[in-house]
Amino acid sequence: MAPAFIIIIALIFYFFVFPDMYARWKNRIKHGRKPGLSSYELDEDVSNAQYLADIVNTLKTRFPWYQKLTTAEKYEFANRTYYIRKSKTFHGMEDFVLEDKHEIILSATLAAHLWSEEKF
Amino acid sequence: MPSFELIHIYPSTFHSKLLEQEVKGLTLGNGRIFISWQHFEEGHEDDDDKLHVGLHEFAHAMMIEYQHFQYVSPWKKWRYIGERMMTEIRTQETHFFRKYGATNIHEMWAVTVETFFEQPKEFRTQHPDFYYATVAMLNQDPCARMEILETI
Ligand SMILES: [Zn+2]
Repeated sequence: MAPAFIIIIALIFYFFVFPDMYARWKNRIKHGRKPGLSSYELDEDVSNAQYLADIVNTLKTRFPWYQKLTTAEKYEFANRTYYIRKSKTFHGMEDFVLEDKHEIILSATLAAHLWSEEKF
Repeated sequence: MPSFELIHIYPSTFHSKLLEQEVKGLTLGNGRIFISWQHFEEGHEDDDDKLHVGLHEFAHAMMIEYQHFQYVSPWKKWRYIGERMMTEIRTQETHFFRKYGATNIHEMWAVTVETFFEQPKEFRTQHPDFYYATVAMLNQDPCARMEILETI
């Protein structure tokens, strides 16, 4: 009974889990760098427009990597930074006072690191 | 990196109970990243000193996210060269990568990612095979990008 169970589990991993992991890795890019929105959409309301504008302003002044991008890539990069910032929770520890610029620069660093990734 | 949802920011170095020492950054398998803002900012302001605690911790996070790259095909080659680099760091007086990289393969990966983004051209000149192995891992080539921009 036990050997049969182990064989079934091994077959599931061999045919389903490992190929899926490999495919996720192999296909992680290509679409990611296309200009425009990819796996997310921006809301149109004013507060989010301001939120994105704050990101762009900080990137322009505090993030040299951003300056090395083409116009289309800048658009994509700002949107990725926006998405990452929204998807993470930032905590100021001890007496650290968390400001927008901290969240934006950290999110932008992660966006640069994962620039080629489809799932960032 | 959806598994890493929480980023904790300390004003400066902080004590890690896990490592029982003061640290500048820490990444845990439970999806938490801890960063000293003072050291993050120092690395960020000086963008070619091969030191960047943010890139370093995000590199660790990426490794955890992808289960130590065990199913990632470019990893085999990267690890082979990475281990050669670690030996070089340990045995040679002068070396391109930070000494901390020789701690283990995880730190070598994180130190390499810092260098890759901070000094890509020097990296490619000194160790082209390792540079392109890192290009394959991260699927981006900062040198090629810089060369394209220089021609515009
Ligand atoms: Zn480390």
